[in-house]
Amino acid sequence: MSSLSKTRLQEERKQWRKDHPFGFYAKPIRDKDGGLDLSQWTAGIPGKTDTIWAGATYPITITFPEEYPSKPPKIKFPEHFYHPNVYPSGTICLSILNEEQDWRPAITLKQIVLGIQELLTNPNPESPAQEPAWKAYQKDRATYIKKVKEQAKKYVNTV
Amino acid sequence: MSDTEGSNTGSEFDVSDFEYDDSDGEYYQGDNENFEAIQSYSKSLKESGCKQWRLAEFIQENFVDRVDKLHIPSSKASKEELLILLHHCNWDEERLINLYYDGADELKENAGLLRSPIPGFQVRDDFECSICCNLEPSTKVFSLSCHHEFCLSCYYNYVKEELPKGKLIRCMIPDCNLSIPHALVHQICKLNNNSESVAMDNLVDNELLYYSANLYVIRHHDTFRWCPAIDCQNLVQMDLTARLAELDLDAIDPFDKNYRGSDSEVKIVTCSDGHEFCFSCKFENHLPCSCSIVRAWDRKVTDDSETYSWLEVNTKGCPECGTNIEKNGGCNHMKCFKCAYEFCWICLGTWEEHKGFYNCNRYVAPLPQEEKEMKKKRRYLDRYMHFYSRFMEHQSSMAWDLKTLKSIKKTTEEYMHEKATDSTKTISYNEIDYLQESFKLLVRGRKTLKWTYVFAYYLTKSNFRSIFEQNQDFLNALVEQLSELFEKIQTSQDNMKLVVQLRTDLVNVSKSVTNRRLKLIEAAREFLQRGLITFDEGF
Repeated sequence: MSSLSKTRLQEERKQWRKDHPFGFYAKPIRDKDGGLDLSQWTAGIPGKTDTIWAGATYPITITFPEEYPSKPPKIKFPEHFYHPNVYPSGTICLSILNEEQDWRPAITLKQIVLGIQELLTNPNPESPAQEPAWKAYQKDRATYIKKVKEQAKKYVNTV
Repeated sequence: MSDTEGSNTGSEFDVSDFEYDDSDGEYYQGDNENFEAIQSYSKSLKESGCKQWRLAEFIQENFVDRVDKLHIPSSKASKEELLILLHHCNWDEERLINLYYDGADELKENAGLLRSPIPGFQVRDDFECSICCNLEPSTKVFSLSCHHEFCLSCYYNYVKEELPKGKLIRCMIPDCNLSIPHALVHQICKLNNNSESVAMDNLVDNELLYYSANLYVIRHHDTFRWCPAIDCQNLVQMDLTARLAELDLDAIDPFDKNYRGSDSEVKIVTCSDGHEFCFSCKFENHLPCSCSIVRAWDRKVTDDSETYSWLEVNTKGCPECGTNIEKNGGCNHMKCFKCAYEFCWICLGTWEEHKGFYNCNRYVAPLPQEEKEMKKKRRYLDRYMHFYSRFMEHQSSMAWDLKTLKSIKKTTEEYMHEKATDSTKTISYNEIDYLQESFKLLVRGRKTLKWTYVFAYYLTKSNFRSIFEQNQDFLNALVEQLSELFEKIQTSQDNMKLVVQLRTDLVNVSKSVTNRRLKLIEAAREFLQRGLITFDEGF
């Protein structure tokens, strides 16, 4: 990993430990030897209260590329995550995470996870990434809500 | 097959031969009367409605000069700001003016127009950049009028990532929409933090404008093409009146009986440096073939169907596992090296039955259909190999010609260099000037010759095919004659003397090559349009 992204990632970690939004978690993955690999993180996005996403924390993996922060990190939900803007592979379609679109090097981890939390409750029907969730969201809201709530049970808060 | 088709990775369709033409196009403006034929040919190309641009000219005329012509009353925008606005509107003045009158403030906001003075490049003590999080005692920083300061190297990395998109580059803060002025982008790219020289007068080599030109060409694909030659940054613009309809080249079927070719289909253009290419398919000058025939040929050469034909004709499949086996010895007792099945090569029956006696000697009426099929396939394959090998021969001859020229060029350059100090050397530059041009004509002749084999491969038999083949012979003879003259110069002891001696010959032969070449192309086009020749894909 280039020293540039390493310093920045260390700083991101420091800032996150100092202060992060309630209900979220984010930590670098420990490798086999117990050392920290700052380019791979796991994180959890809590569903907003009073929404169909509430009561659960959705896991994501964050991969920071060599060129970070010139290029955005790649963020994935588990495969086949049910959301109109999540590809079957789990990759999230969000403009601030797209280097061709709105990514800027100054975007922090906190801004990213808050952006994803926002996307959960407010999908963008303009850029569908999977058929089932998108179709249901557009045409059959009842099924959509049912499926989202079913999914929430899978990731229900343990505390 | 593998010998002749060894390099069959599509590489035969590269454009490396473009590098021959390095005469900077001077020739077209020059007054070398020996080449008036080509001059008129190139002139006719220009008249056919295409405009040649050098990248710098393009940026100057289409981007920079438009700013000067732009007139927005009651706007006090500076030149720099107008450039940003125009870039934001994809260099469309009309759109800019419309948007401006719809709401000047909104337009300025969207374009990220700067407010007040730009701090630009500064040096800060004990500055911690929030992008790279490095804390240094002294840091070069950059910021726009929003005062969002980041270190110069972070800006450098960011700008490098953003440039290829060809759009305005904004401040690194996500919600800050301010655009970095073009001249400052250039300075960031050069890591030049001298704030004073924010010059508007040298924008033709501006990185952002270059990438914007790139985007512009993509958006105006119907009228613009980059020259495909290696390292060439020239553009060719097709006149709007002569513009090609967006041809669906795949839909054109040259093997349709009613195919008459189409004039607009093959539009050979030349860039300012004399590189010829086809405007439709961006490939080299492939006349007399049409783009669709080139495609058919490309598919044929690239895919492995011919390899399979060869296998079918020259090998037999193991009756047990189907592995292709080529017989390389006299004995007909075969043992498959893969599955160890033993069989007889003649009747393909198991060898078990042959141990005591040969029952395959008995004549069983051959399957006539099968045998006929085999012979037909072999004939097709031979035919293909005939044309393919000639096509490839000329392709590689082009590379040899280039070597010859390079060697001659080196000799002449050395001679000219020594001439400065050696008074016995009296040959002037004017006397050897013709070499470049003669050589260019040789390359073009060979290129056309190469493609005639593809053309001929698909031609069905007719009297007009014979005429075409005769034209091909003429061109072939002249090209070889010219190539030989060049080689003679290269291999002689006193090549400078020959360069002068053979001048008339070389000029004449290269002229004839060109005449022949143009006649051949013209004749092929005429035959095709009059429906005198047809193509067949079935070979």
